[in-house]
Amino acid sequence: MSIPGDGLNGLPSELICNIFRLVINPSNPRKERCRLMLVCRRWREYVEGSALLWTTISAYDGLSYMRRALENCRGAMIDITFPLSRSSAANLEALAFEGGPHIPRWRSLILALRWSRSWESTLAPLTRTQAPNLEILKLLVRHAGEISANPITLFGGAPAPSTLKNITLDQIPVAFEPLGLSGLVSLNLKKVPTISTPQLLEILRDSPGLERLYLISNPSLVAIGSQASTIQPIELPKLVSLSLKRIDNGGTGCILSNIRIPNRRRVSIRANVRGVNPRSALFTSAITHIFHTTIPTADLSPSAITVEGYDVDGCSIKFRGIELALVVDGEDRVQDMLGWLVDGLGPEAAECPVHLIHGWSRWDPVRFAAVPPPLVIKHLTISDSASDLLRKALYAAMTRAPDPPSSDWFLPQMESFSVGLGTMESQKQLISMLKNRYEGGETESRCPMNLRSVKLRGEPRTEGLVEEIKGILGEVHVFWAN
Amino acid sequence: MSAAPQVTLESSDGEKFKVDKEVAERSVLIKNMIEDVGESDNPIPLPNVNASVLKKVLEYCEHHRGDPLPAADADPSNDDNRKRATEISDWDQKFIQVDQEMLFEIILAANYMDIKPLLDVGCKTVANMIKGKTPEEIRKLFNIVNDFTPEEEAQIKKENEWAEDR
Repeated sequence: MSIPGDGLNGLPSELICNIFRLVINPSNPRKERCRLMLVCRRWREYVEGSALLWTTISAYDGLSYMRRALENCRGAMIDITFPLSRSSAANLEALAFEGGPHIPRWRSLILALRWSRSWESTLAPLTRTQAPNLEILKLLVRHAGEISANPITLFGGAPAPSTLKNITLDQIPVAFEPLGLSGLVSLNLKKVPTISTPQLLEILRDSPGLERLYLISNPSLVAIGSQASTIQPIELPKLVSLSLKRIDNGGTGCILSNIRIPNRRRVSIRANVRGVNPRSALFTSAITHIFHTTIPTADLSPSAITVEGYDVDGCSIKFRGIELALVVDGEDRVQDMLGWLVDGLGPEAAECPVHLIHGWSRWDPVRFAAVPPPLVIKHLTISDSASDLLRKALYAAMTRAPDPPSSDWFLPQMESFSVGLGTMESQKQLISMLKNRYEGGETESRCPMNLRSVKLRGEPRTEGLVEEIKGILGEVHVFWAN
Repeated sequence: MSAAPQVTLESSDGEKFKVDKEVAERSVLIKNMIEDVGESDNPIPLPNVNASVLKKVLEYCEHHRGDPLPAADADPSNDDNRKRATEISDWDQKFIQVDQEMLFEIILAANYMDIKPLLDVGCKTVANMIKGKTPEEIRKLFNIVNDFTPEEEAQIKKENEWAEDR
């Protein structure tokens, strides 16, 4: 079996070729092939003689090398790639000309195009001919300006091959109707004006093995009105990653309310809820099924709900693998969203502590922190982007004794607190706030001590500050962030 | 509770290893032999694997005894995992930290015994050793003699438009 002492060259040739396949980077195979061929005669023979090492045909390589690769790969299935860095009409036409006759052997086609006018004709092999073994299709246009409204028909108008599992289209207006897509594993559509909600739902129904679905800025994915109520829920038990970004709220709601994703790991939704009530526009009870997953929550970080206000109108809510990135126009929208979470979770909501990350400077920090019961804020972070004004407003709220005295302090159950300290003044403000809140300060009243940790961020790290804070808070863990 | 069924494997140098049948059957070769011959007390001979390598292979099989078995009909030319092809788990990385002679012996044994996951770990490890190295560095690492003439080397570079900075 083995030839003792022969080392790597004592392995059977098929194993050496297998190792070479792992070495060769599909995005730039030429360089690695050449390195391997230069080691010794035997390795050169292995590389030249192994069809599987030549199956990536890249426009990066130029015409003569493309021809050589097509010859060396013999009858093997091929992967055609056209990287953006070589995005010129001449290169693409050469690739189409050389690779076109081999279309029955195309396993994958990955084209990244830079311009918007000539690519329709240069896609010719794909638009006119069937690709019976195609598994992966990625067509991307960059800097296209206005997207062409004319749908492009693929495969000469024939249905897509049953082998096609992975589709990415970016700014390519493909005609979906004739494709009859089914059995997909991954679908990624960005700025594709030709996909409608009924077409998408039909694809999803016919793709029960779908694992990844990414939909970004597709203008025709809109609500479908009364049709939606007659649709049977679409089970997608293998879907682990779902992303819906900048889709019409009605369209997003329609998609989410009609699918079931019991084993999802990640759900990402980016929506604009300015000027609308999010609970009627999108976040209705019909989509609260997305909270629940069979994936253990420990795997997705605990059940804490992280709410972050950032920039002027951005709000992010993260919970059990769900990430909602919202454009909002006030604190009330955030409370509406948390109310939706509370209703959907039911009694479970009481077990979900809230981590508030405050970076808004324009809005009322106290109203932002008024989470609906039974949610309780147990962690507060004042983000580095927060203004001095915001920090002062928060400290004022944190030191204000309850009036009447029977009511609660602001954030009474806060267990951890994280704040950035960039100046001596901000350090003095922190000390003053902590003294007034937890020692009683100028009043007799003081907040019950639930605090467990204080994390300090930023520079300079004043010597003795940690000890001074510990002097006020006692057993609380006080530390500088790494 | 009855003890797990066991089988005995015999290395090329005559050493016998008694292991759980479940562990031994990580090897498709052994699994097929057991199915063909049926339950037997006779040791299963492995004439191409010596004791030190077999011990190492069985350590791998023991650690991965509960893992799902790879699909038998996996198409080697259609490897969707090529992008992450050279990722190796932490345990496997530590396991395969052996000298080159042992590494190649493990690869040969995994190939002979038909243990695809172990073969993958071995091949990925060698691939990672090659990646990013110049031809000269590769020759030095694996003790390979450069048998090209300067003219031949120049010709290969020309045919492939070789340039270090590409």
